[in-house]
Amino acid sequence: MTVADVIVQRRSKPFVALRLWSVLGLMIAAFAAAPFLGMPQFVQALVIEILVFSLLALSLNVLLGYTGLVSFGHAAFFGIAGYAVGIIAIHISTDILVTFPLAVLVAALCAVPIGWLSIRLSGFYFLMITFAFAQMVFVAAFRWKPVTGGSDGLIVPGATLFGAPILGSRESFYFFVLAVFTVCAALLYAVVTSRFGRTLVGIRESTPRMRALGYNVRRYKLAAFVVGATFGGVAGVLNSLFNLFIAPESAHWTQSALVLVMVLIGGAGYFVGPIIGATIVLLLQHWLSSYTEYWGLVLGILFIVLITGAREGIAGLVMQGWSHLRGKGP
Amino acid sequence: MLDFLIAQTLNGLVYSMLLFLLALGLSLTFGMLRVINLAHGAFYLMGAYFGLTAWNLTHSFWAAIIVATAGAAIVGMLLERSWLQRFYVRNELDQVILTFGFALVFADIMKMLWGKDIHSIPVPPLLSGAVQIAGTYFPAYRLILVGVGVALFVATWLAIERTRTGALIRASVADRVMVSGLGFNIRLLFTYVFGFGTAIAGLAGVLGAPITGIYPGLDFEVLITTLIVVVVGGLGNISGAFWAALLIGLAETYGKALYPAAASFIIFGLMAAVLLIRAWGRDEEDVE
Amino acid sequence: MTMKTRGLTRRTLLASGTAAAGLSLSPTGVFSPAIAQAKPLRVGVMAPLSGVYASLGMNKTNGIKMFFNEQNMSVEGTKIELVIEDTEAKPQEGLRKARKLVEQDNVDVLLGVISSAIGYGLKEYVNRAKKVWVTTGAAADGIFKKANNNPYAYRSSLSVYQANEPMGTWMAEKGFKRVFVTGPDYAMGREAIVAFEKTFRAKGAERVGEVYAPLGTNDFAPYLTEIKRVNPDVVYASYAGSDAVRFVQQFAAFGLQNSIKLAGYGYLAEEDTFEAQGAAAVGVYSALNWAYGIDTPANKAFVANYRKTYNAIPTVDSVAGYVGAQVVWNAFKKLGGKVPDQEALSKAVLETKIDTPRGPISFDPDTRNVIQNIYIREAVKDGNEIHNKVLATFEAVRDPGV
Repeated sequence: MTVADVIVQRRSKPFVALRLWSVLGLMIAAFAAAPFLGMPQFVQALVIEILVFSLLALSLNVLLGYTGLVSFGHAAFFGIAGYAVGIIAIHISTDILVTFPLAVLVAALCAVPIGWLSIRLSGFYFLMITFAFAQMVFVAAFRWKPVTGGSDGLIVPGATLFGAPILGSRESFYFFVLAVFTVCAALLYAVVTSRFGRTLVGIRESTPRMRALGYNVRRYKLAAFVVGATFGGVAGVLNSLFNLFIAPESAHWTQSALVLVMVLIGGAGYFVGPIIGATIVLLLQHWLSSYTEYWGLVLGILFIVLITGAREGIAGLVMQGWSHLRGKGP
Repeated sequence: MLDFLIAQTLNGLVYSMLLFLLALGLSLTFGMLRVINLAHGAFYLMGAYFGLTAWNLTHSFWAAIIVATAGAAIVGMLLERSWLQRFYVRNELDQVILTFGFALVFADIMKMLWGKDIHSIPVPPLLSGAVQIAGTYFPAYRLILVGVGVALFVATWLAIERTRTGALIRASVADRVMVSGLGFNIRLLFTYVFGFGTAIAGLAGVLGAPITGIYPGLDFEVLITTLIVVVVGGLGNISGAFWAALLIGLAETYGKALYPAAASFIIFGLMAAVLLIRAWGRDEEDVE
Repeated sequence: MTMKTRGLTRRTLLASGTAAAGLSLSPTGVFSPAIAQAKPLRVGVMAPLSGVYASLGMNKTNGIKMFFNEQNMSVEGTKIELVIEDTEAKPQEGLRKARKLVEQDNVDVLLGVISSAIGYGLKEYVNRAKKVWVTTGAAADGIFKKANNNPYAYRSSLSVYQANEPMGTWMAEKGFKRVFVTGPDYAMGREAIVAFEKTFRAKGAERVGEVYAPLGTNDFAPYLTEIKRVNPDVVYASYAGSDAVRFVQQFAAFGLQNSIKLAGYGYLAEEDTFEAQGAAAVGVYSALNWAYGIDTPANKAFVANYRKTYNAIPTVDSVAGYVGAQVVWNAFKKLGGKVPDQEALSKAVLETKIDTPRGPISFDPDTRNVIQNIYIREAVKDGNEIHNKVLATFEAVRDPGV
């Protein structure tokens, strides 16, 4: 029994897709309008972070929910791209047309050998090997002081466009992230609902069957791995440009665990699950730690409750409640 | 040169035994019950804290050991009875998340009860003192730990391979229904086995306390190291855990002595290499 | 061994007559006494209250709270409010909390932070946000240099360099000639040793060995064996926290305590490690900007009051918090209990010249790092406890800033 066997996916019928995108579309429109309606700077910052981590969680879900690969090292790509954008900005150019794509490319390129090696394992062993690779990235970031700034982290120079500084104000960055997020989410949605995406689901459900049908399973898994890493890298770039700083902790296993948690809490079987999960975890972590230092306890209880009673995450609960209301289902 | 070899090899052996003590409980739990217990590190720390309190009250190291082991066993068994039992049928990921959740909960509860400061348990006078080997002083306590590790290995292996209870456990894992059909109380058996695993973790915690110290965060540090040992040795394979602990302990010790800069990489690289070597050429689903 | 009790509350909003709960989430929900006075001054306190540095963060906030309470939470008739936030010692969370304090809670000043990684990121942020920040930690050398001096960021604690440099001189003068250096393999560990070696070797002494322990080293056995083989006069170690506890304990366990002198950066042998280290710590030399045993009225009062208030032994972090609070309070006082703008506050902080439990302090305008005394200490038995007593004092030490 493979690890992700029991994560059930709701097949995305076109009708559901329409509903999904109209809801999402409304939300994005609302977010776009909010600053004009007086959304305070600080809330904008919170939304920016939610969008960044939602993207990271969405990217992990390509591996986890769709392909059934439970990776414990996804933060590696978040970190690699995050550092790359800083290093490129310092040594080559701060122009965003250079730093952004190059940094994402670096993450994607790193994903190739890491993924190629990792997909040879499955289940718990896959978990451990992705963990091992991610820790090596962390150690490299921590120790390679001349390049990464070492344990003290790296100050990321502000982005420019053709020589002029851009994204200097909170609002401009807010719209930037909103735009990037929308594009990436749309792209990811297209990927997972395409034939490629459905093949991934098939691999998750039964690898031997897919192989028997003639699919080169390894190549698909690698592709999923790289796709996930690429979008995770985009999230990393956005994060670095927002904070104008990055530290090794961004690639630490605890960061990987956090993303995993976001996906699972939100519901790995649904496209929007990771977005819900990222929102909840970020807000929880932020608000809770203002009230109590024992927010770990709360998070732990949340896991236990969810995994015991609500396996498909919050999204699952919502969908169950929805179908209940409509009179069908349990 | 010979002195150097002897000294560092001894260091490596001692470190290996500490690793083995950690890994034994986790390997046992997985081997017998097919449960990955990510709260294992928490039980280690729990044992250390129980031992600390016992020591503070009685100033007896032996009391600390007993309280630590018993305490960890009891908490483990309670956990198994109350919650974990439902999860035997669920897949690994669910167990991982559940036990991770408990790890977080335990971590904060321990912080509430014992605070955030760093504590330690001193080595009992009987076992303190150093022994001179190869021109260098070696703490006697560490040498004793080597003995304890080996003894535990032998005892556990014998218990599983050579006793009726051990056979019973192995049979229940292979075919639960049949064994309970024969009239044995499987549920109770599993509870005891899990409790035994956590008891060993707690024992390792109190025995290791004079060397590692006791503080919040130690639980996850220990967990990572333990996972690596167990994975390298093969999940559920007790002798594997023993040899893996030796390999990693010696590799890390020599790594630190000869190439300190690369030492961190060694552990993770080793684990990745072992995993890959095992998996090479096989189809993914075969390596579970 | 003393068992310390800890209350569960780790953050308190203190306004006279209120023992408020966490109201800081919505600025409008903050309770202010209904007396016609100047608007209360708000101090945003950032410290790690969970995670690896939790005990340091707790000591720090204890020190801060104690000082403000001694002043009855007011200055020149204006009330003072503390908004305490947990950074978890993570840069991302630290920046997030800073944004919250500055943008949502509208604090008048930022106080705190221990982790140097957060320090680097925060220094840039406060420059952009134009908010005065007095750090009580973040000791990495590179954070406060001439090159990155900005008008808003101040460090009232110390720089790693500043603390370790005098030790080299002192140890060389004491007659030590051959040193083996060791420390954790990251910035702080290395910076401390660089500073020590600079002055130690300048006096003709030599380094006979060095080893840096990778992150997460539990077992120093391989290094101790090497040290024994090399047989130096002294081992200089820059470990802190649980590493310090383990290193000192294992140093003694391996029988080195009687033949080789152990010395180091103050955190190696500090009030927070002594309980766990026990007898192994006795006789260790270290250098830091404070010692429990400083024999001045200010320090004696501080120690006594801290022990009484918290039923715990104060540590260098407690003092750091206390002194940071002193700096902020004195700046407020200079401005008459109001902050017309951040530039005025910055000027007031820059002109600080006060006496503290650590001795007199002021700020270096070139780096905005504190100028203070550095103490050479020795850990000695004091009844049932172990404390640091002062062996020598270096006055008005500053960080060169290059």
